[in-house]
Amino acid sequence: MAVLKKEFHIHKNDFFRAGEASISIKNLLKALGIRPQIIRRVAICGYEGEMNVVMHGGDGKIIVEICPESILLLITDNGSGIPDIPLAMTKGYSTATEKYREMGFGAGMGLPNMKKNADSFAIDSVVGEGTNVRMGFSLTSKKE
Amino acid sequence: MKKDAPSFCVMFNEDLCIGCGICMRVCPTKAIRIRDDRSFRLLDQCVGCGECQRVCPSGAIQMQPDKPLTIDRKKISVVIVSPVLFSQFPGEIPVDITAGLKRMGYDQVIELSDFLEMFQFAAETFIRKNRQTREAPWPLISPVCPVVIRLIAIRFPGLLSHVLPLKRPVVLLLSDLKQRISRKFGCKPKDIVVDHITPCPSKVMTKHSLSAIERKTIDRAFGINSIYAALFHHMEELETMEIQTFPMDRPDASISGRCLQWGMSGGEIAGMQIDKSMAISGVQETINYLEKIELGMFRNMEYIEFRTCPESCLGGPLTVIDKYLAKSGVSRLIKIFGMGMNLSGTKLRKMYDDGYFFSPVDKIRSELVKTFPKKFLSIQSMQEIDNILEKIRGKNCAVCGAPDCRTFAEDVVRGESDLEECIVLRARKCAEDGKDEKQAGKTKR
Repeated sequence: MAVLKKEFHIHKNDFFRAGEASISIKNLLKALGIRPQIIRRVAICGYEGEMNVVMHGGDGKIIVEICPESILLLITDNGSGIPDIPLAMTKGYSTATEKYREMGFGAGMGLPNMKKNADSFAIDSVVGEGTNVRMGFSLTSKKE
Repeated sequence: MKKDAPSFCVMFNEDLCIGCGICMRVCPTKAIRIRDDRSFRLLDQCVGCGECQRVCPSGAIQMQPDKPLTIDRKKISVVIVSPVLFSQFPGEIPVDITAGLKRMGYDQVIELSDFLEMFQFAAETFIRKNRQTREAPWPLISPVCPVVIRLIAIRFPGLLSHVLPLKRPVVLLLSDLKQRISRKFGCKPKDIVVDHITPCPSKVMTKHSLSAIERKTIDRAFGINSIYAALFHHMEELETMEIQTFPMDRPDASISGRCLQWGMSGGEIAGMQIDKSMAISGVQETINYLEKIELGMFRNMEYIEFRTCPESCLGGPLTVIDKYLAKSGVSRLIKIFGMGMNLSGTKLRKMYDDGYFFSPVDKIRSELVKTFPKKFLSIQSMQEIDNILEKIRGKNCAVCGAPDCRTFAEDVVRGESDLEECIVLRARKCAEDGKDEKQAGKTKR
């Protein structure tokens, strides 16, 4: 089965280049003719993840795996980790979102919205070691 | 002169081309390939931005048909002028420019002031209503620049739903134009010639215009640069004449500050009461920001004015004078003309409620999708592309005739180019062959 795998690095505090990986992923999906609605959800999740790494994470990477029927997005970092995942997953909970949004960064959406936009979502984190977020997108999904 | 690429507005002169390939590298949709050193080939994803003409060092690329402007006196000739024309003669006031056009032989000069005002009113109303209805997603994107719309259709189709679903000012102007002119002059619609003078390369090929009414109504279009010398001459002649002989016609002279400002970056939103708006100009900047919107950024913005020319239409490829000089002159005029409104709000509100300003977006979208047929790649071909890139390890030298290594690899996978064209691979092969021969020589000895 043909699987296309790409890996991009995310650098700590690099606001200037944050988003580049998501743009590359987005353009890859466009070239493959994936439906715009799905590309949009992948792009939003990717960018949100990238911003999380840049703001709270440390160094990290974003890996995309494209299979004929699904897309897997894995975002991993070696940053500070999340002490209370259920709290971080609460809608409206944010550490600095509003401020960053006014600066023009970030979609101001956070983890709950990544979960909302992905078809499957898993997160694990160890304080002091880092965070992994795995998101899956079905190419046959009707989700808008 | 060889006229290749009739698909859009680019005219290429092979005799002038020096084969430098700069045009190919700046093309935002990678629509240009160079074959056999200097034969230019334009692919159908050209959006008509004019960047190639801007950078061409030898003048081989022209963005307009090379027919001269002739006015048939037996017909009624009207001309629709872009607001940018008024910026091209610093120190002259708009009525003098209008008078010059009349001396050239035009029976009527039509400018866009009122229609810009209508558009701005409608846009403002739509945005205000959208705060409640959320009918369209934020940020809304200005539908005005045709190049931006084509760019969205080809590179960001997911953002078509962000485009404000209203008619562009020129479309508002064109509705029933020929009928109105024929009533005024008492002639048949077929005896009317409608010309358009514009700074925009994507508007000179009228049969490729964005909307059906433009394709139907505008007979010919000329770049400002192609009529400039003639118009300048007539305006100079007027200056030497007695003031009474001015062919002055007041109705043509209702040009507003809004109209003058329109051609500047931010000129569209300046006439609208929308705080959460911003203006972006330049083709690369436009692409960068469209990418960002697709990532979910700027959702707290309500309206974004995009123009692919630097500093907006004043920086159009078919203008004549320096864009900053034009801007300075226009700013001076705006102070005199003010930014007031000519039209009655009550009337405009009624027109809005009657649906007058809404454009058939679905039709336009499906037409756009048809104009730019998609050539998708499979996962396998994507892997092949990666393999080719790995093999080439090139420097985007573009000697192959494609703008960069990735595009070249795509062309190869699609069967449109040959891997043999890659000079880096050939050089490496030569070096290796040479090494082999040397080694062979050594062992013989």
